[in-house]
Amino acid sequence: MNWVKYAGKRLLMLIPVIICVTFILFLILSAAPGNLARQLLGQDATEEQIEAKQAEMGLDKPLLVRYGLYMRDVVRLDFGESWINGESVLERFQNRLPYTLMLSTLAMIFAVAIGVPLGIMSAIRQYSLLDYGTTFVAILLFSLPAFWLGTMCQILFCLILRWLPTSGITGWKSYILPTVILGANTLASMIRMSRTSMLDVIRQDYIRTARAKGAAMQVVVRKHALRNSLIPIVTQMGITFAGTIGGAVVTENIFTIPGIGTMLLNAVKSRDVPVVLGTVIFVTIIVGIINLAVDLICALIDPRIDLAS
Amino acid sequence: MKRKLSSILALLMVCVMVGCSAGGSGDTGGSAVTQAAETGSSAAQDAGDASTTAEPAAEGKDTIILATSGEPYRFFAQGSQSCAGDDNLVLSNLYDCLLFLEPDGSLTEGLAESYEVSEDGLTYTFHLRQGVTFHNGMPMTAEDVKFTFDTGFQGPIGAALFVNFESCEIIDEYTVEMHLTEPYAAFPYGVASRLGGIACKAYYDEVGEEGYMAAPIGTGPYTFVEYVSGDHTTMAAYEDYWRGAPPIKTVIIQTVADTNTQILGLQNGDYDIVRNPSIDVCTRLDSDENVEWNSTNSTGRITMSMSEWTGPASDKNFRKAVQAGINKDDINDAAFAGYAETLDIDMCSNYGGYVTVDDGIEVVEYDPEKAKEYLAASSYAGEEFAIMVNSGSTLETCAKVIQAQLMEIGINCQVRAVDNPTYQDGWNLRNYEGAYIVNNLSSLVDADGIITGHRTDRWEEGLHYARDPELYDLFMKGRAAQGDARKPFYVEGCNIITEEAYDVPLLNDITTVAYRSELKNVLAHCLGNYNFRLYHY
Amino acid sequence: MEESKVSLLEIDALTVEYRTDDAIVHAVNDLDLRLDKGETRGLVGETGAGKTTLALSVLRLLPERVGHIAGGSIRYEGRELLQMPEAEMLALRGKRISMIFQDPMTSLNPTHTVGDQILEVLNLHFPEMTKQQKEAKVDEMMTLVGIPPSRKTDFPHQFSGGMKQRIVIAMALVAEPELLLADEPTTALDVTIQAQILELIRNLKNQFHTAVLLITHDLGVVAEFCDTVSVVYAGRVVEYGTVEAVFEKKNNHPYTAGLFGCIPDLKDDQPRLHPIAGRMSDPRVVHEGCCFCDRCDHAMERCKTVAPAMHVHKGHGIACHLFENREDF
Repeated sequence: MNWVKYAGKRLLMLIPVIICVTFILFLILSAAPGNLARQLLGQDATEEQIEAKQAEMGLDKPLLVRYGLYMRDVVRLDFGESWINGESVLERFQNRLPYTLMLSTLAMIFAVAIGVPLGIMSAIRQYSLLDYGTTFVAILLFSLPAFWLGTMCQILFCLILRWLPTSGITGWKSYILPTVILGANTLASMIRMSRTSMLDVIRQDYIRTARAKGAAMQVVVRKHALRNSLIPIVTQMGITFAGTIGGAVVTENIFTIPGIGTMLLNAVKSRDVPVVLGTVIFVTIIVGIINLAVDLICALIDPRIDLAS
Repeated sequence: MKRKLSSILALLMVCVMVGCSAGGSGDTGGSAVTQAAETGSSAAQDAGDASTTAEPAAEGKDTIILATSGEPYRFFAQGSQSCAGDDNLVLSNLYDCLLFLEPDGSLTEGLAESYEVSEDGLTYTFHLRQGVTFHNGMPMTAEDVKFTFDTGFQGPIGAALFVNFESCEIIDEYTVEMHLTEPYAAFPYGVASRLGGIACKAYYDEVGEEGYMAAPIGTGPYTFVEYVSGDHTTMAAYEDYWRGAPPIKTVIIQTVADTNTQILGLQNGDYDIVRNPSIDVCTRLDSDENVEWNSTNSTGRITMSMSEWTGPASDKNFRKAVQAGINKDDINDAAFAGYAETLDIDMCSNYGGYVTVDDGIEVVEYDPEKAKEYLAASSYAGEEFAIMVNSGSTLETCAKVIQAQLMEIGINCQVRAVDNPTYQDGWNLRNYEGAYIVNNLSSLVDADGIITGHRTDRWEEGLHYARDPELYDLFMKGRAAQGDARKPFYVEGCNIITEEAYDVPLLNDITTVAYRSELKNVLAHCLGNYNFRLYHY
Repeated sequence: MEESKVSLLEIDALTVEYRTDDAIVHAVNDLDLRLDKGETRGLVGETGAGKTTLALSVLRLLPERVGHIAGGSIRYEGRELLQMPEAEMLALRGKRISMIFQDPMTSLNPTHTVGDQILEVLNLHFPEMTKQQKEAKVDEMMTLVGIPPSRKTDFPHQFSGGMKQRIVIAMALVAEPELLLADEPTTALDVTIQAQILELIRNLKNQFHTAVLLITHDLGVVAEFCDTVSVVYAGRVVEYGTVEAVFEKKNNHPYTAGLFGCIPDLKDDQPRLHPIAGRMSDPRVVHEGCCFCDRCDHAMERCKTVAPAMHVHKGHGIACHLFENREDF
């Protein structure tokens, strides 16, 4: 089946997902305690002022109507303004997306470029010192929480050694620590995933067949094992990448990177509904695209996958 | 062989884990610098030894970066939006008020060189300074003052800050008369508040509210340069400032969400000032010679308010038991390392009209035995007594200490730490059963701040603001009288509250500031203002 | 002992162990085998007798950490394989000695086209051939095994089990090797396909004069297809000879006799089959005496303690005390 058609179908399938997710979010946020109008105007505001503010925010209408109005605007690509500071949601998202994307991409490259080769080599030299060593490192990275590792690295590299800036984005050096911290977890899972995948593939019969044909082990690994072991790795990469888009909150917080994670978290905490919904819609679309890309790549690698089915 | 290797690795792991958990904490040493509240003495500085790490020379540096987690974003106070303490970071530097609020809560001259109050307390005459210009070069006149007050009064915080304001009359280009509906002793504090920053009428007529918000103009020592949401706000020195051009030419207010990062950045030299760090962070900084900190009483009262309309707290004996069973010094030690002041009444000592034991205030001492007696005399049957607090705040620490103290005298006390919107909601609507620990901040540094919790006019809305209409009466008389004549009313009112034990005032909240040692003149301010024009390297 | 002439493949006293953390598995014990040029020998035995291990040992493809050749010698055309450096082994594998494996479903790489997989053999061993020559050879081989060359750009999952095994055979024989190790090539296929595949192997081996070591548990296949047969039990050869001699059923090792007894006979009317009592001995345990002793109907006292020697007469060898001094088989 033509992959363009397939891609189109998949993207269209995102629409029901978005509707479902936003509706559930809408319900939850509406049910949560906390009256934003009252909060914004302060304790001393009169009831009329609060009611006026609520009408302005559209909070006086019933839930379904509000949801309908919101979705109608979304279709017109109007994602509204933040209830807290009036800034356009779309603009705010566009300002912050590049940082998050940059950070996520760098973290993925870091994790994959180091983790996959290490994992594969561990698998080939199973039970060697290299194997034990990388497994140890991987488990360590898994276990150390990001906020601890991040703060420790800050103290070491920024305060004591003064090699790197503490926070914010002031140049290419600012990306080094956040990339490593964000990528640490993914690195660990890449090592484990590659190792497991390669171990699995090496035990397959066709590897034995290839060797029986007279191919050296190195050649066999490169030509036969690698491609087959990549399939689960690519899938894992897709899942992780999608996760780092919205989930880099801790890293963003520690290193003060103006990314999407913090924006979303703050919006939820302060019940800024337009920002929450807008961000979730954008993130859903991005994640959907990433998943699609991953599936297409897998189909490219593995001829057994038939897109039409 | 494989087994031996596994055991060695396991051992290594355990060592790493142990090493991680024994994280070294900073040692306390060096002198802590605190600012006495009443006398307003200047901060003592320690003549430190040379620092061990070579620091770049800060001489002649004219840019400072302030790290804050709460971000300012409303830059025009008199508009239809409210504005809060975070916004005041910028407002107090973009604008000047007629009167200036000092760090210790006293008032000095601002854009008004002097003022008089009429005999009946209903008219305030302000004599404006001449030759003051706005950032766009236009002169500041009585028109701008009238515009500021008329417009500000219409907004959501107008009635709260410009209490009893009726009108502003222009007498001549540099004289205005403010007329009040009723006498209000704390009116000058409203004038000096964030709502009283004089705005430029002509500019407003030109660009409207939205334009003003986006590019604000004032007479203050700093001009607005830019605001990047979620990131920073930049201000530049106003060279034609009437008090003289400030030495610090650029101020960047940087939003840094994580407090650890703020402090690391300060120690690193990335930031020059950190806004309101918590007390345990400050005491940790004592060991770093490059950094100093000081604190002062804020205008906030940390008070525990009990729901006397429902639940166990509806029984007076129960409330008296709670009142006697709380040890405020312990709370002070736990939450503020002893740096705060304990309170006996719901007022801060820096308030105008503040009353003390000398004026007749009655004090209830900590007495757990007495508390148990009260409890026995009450109808308390072991029900849960829940204290609501804002999760993760100092108030939560206070609540936990109180919980332990109350459990000791036999009250089944629980702490409910909820997220901010839920916390605000519950308090604004007063629909709770048990107690709330709140930090009652008064923008007016005056005893009148006590009245907000006792307004009978909100009774109809079902909000349990007023405990006792008599209290409202007394406080209304207190705000109308002038000078010492106010005191008897407040004494009587506070004593009623103490007698009925509606509230237990706990501590006077403190504001802190941490900064690089080379930066001079940095003082913590009772309202959390930062007067950047005074700082220099 | 057979007459000594230089055979194609000579295996002497081969002992192979699998060393795991828990125990040592004695897969092949003191095994002897001969194969001449062009000969087709069947290697018969139950599952777990060590047949596949033997074949893998020849190619030195045992699982690395676990498999150990503990003793003996394997000579190919007189050259000792067990000491040979890996580079020389690579030159042998696929070119002079080929192997086909049991399960065609998993023997092919799912992400390479079948044409490429056959081509790989030529790329490895005949670098001097041009691209066109190689492609032509691949086409030729595919036609020989009965697969249209137009399908060489298809992937393994697009073929049935039988066709996959044909491709495996094509891969094994494209270099025209002298020795083919066929490890149960038809076990995973259904009966009708089995016949086709065996026919194909027979034709090709005739065409290329390839010697075949056919590993199987199916006596019928041996009878149909092989010249000679070795019967393996518990990692050692217990009987060997020409197919006529062994299948005459007059003189056999008790195990072989038992195997024959398991096969239903069309001519006789048997209400029940006679399986061999008991199970194959645990390969982790080293035996004293005869390995078949516990299951043998004719076991004697001596069998428990003394391992029987191989008693040979006219090329028919039986390792059993019953045939000790006999001259008549």
